[in-house]
Amino acid sequence: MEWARLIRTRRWIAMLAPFVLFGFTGPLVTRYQRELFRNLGGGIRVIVPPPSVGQAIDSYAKNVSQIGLLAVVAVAAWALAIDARPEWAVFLRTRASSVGRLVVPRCVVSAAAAGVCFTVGLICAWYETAVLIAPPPVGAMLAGACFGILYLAFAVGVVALWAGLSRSAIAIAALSLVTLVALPLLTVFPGVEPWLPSTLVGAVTSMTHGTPWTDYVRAAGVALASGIGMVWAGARLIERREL
Amino acid sequence: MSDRFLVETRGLVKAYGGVRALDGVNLRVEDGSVYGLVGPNGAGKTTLLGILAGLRRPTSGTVRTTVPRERVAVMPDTPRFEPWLTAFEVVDLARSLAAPEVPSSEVDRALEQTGLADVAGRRVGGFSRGMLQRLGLAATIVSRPRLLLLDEPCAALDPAGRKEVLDLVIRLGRSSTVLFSSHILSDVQRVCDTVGVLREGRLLFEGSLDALLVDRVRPAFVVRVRPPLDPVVAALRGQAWVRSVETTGAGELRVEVRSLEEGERELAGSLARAGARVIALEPEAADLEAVFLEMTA
Repeated sequence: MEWARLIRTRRWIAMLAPFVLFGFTGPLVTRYQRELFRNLGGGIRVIVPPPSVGQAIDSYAKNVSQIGLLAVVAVAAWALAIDARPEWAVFLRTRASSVGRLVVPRCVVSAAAAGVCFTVGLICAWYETAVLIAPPPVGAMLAGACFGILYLAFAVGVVALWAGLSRSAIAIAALSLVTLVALPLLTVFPGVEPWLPSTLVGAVTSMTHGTPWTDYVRAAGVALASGIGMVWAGARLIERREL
Repeated sequence: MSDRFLVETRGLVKAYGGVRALDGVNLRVEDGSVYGLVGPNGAGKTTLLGILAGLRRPTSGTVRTTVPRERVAVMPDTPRFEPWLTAFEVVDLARSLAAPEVPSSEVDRALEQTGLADVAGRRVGGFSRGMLQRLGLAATIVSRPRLLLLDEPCAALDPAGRKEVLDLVIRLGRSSTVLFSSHILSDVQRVCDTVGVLREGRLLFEGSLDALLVDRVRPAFVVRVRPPLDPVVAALRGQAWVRSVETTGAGELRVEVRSLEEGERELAGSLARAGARVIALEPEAADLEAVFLEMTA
């Protein structure tokens, strides 16, 4: 049913579009940014380093960590707003043996769809970079993609938690985005950064520069554990909520 | 009453802020009964059904059920579904969530029973309210529940649709226990064997329909005679066993008597002696609506 929701409501297009778009445009802009700045005119001289594989992939990663994340959060929020329409909620909640049976498939499908979109976008970015600049290292890209996908799954977990605290899909999406945007602020505390799931966003870029994958194990562990915990907590909160 | 109950509440209270939506409700639904919960809008019917379905928690009091939660099916007053699902998928989803052991052939059967077999493949986004109501019923019966909680199941239906649904409820009542709320009293009178009258959160009456009507209806006859009426009215008012006579329509009289037996024995003779040209004479039908209005006024 969750796959049907994505496909029949065409939300998959809304989710996939930014990833594919930035997969193609990120490396393209990186490759031609010198020419773009040169034609700015007005007597301004901008010094731009020569285009590199790392820059091209970074451009993709940065864009999808904003617009792509927004699309993932919106799609997941609409799927997880189980109590948004009371009549439909009565149908679901009086038939499922537990709310977990409703929440978990929604999270799994949203996270899986987000993972597919991120991967498709990354393949586009890899192809474009390979054609325009140089082929990115496949191994680093694959490992970085795993961390990127894990971050998006963590974002779905955040949405699940807010779905337990709010009924409205718009409120769930907004609160989830605020949470995800505010999360990197915790880096002001010394020693916290390696543990923050938000650092996984930049893994795919850093790894093309040679950063070892072990640098992201702690953040990945936190993202996995807290993601599962938030899904569980969200389901419990929905279960306790009266209709 | 028997000891075989499916649901029993004791001193059930549900308060929203300072307002008591339910105020000490003691309700008992016998196994195999068709229980009609009647009451005006705002009486607390939906709140009570919500608590029985486990969707709301009581402020105080207890709810005892002898049926597992997965064998209880609930239908809200205005069922709504994901518009991109087909009718078949809605009912199949209900089956897979509530009773995965039930074969999927039951989905077709439920759709057929509710008159939706022809539109099984259509997306429900274009369904009328009546079709959604019937789809809600199909999704309710597919899991073969032991207890059905139906909130105003005929609310959105035209007369033909209401008849179909009520016939279905009667059929369901043979294999399941049904508790349905309604403010359409003729529906309750038609299908229910037990009635609970709820007003402002209090259960004013609970018992068989006969007990409700017999205890509260005054013995009366409806007489239709040809004009002139005045001599007939005057003659009847002079009888000791007649309590009152009132004109209720063109050529129609309502004669309230001390007892039905006396009326049956004396009325025809009194009308003949008064020279009345009688067209029809019958005891007044027990009217749930009149009783309900009297109780909830």
